[in-house]
Amino acid sequence: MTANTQNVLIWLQRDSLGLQNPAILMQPGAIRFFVFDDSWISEEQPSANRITFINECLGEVRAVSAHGDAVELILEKCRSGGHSKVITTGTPCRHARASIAALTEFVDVEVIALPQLIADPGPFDLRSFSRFWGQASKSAFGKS
Amino acid sequence: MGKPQGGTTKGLERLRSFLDGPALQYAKTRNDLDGSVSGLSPWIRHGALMATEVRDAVVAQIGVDASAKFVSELGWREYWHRVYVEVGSQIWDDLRPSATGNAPDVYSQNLPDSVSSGNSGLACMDSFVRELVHSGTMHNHARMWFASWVVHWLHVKWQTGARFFLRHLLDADIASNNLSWQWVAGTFSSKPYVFNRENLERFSGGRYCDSCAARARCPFDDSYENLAKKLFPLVEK
Repeated sequence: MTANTQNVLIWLQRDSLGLQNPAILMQPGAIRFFVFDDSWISEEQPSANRITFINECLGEVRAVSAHGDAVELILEKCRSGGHSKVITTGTPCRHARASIAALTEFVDVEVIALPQLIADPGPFDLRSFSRFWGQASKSAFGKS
Repeated sequence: MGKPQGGTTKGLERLRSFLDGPALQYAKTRNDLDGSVSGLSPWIRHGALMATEVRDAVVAQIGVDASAKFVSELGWREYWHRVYVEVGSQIWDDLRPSATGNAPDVYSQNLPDSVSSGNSGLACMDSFVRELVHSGTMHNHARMWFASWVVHWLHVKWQTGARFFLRHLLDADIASNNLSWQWVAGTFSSKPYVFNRENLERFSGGRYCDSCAARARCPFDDSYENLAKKLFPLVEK
């Protein structure tokens, strides 16, 4: 929160490519960076339709993008742009979570949680959806 | 609905059109191919729209009771994500022994070209695939039918089908995708998901069967009891 805009690089995750991304709201003047990560490309081999949709999202949030290894590219971006801090958003993606963990070895990383559908912190029984929803649904209808 | 375009502005346009009409009918008709679905999943998946803001807008528009089914569908997404965080890379492995009773070696790694190109000869499935490849979309019920056909009739590994969807679906999310395929396959559910011709005709308005070249030998044209005997012969009643 204390870093100034020039020092911050916002790393956009694939599940937070919108104008309401809390990292963008927190640092609206900071550079927004997205990586078409090799691990994701290799695993999902996305079609041109998928890439186009993502690029349309990136265009609206005025993000720059690159293709390759996420950790290497973000560290290079930090070096070249003089960024001392990376802000990103929480994600269930295991590749992104691994990259976040690796980045913290080299640069200050702040992970902001996305607004939660389920306000109750849990824990929840995940053996089936009905068990989960039986516990979680009461807190799924309030204003976020 | 046209081919979805990325970005929050386009997502909000789609949300507004959903709120202005279909939202109230969602719970009753969402399983029909022509039903009142939102089509919002590509934007929600990429955070162009937050699930919470969509939830708030729908609840504000039609009330808590009428929005319960829609919110529970958002809840499925939340559920899959939480399971994914727990299992990590095992999202590609059978999470439970298969409920089909079939041995793993029954299933092939390969999706036939005729299936992935939409030339299987089954009008319903070919239509689903062509829409998927062209626009990156497929109705949720069609996803379930297609997945069930691929795994239980064609004996293709669920992982192969999941990769096909991941490649093409605009809303592709490895958590929802792989775990839904496992749910259909019976490796993350108490029983495998199957359907029959009557079910498909009912929810598709019969649009495929009349013109289907394979209508006289439709593989889905049977009772659920008989299909279970054919598809899962080792499972005791």
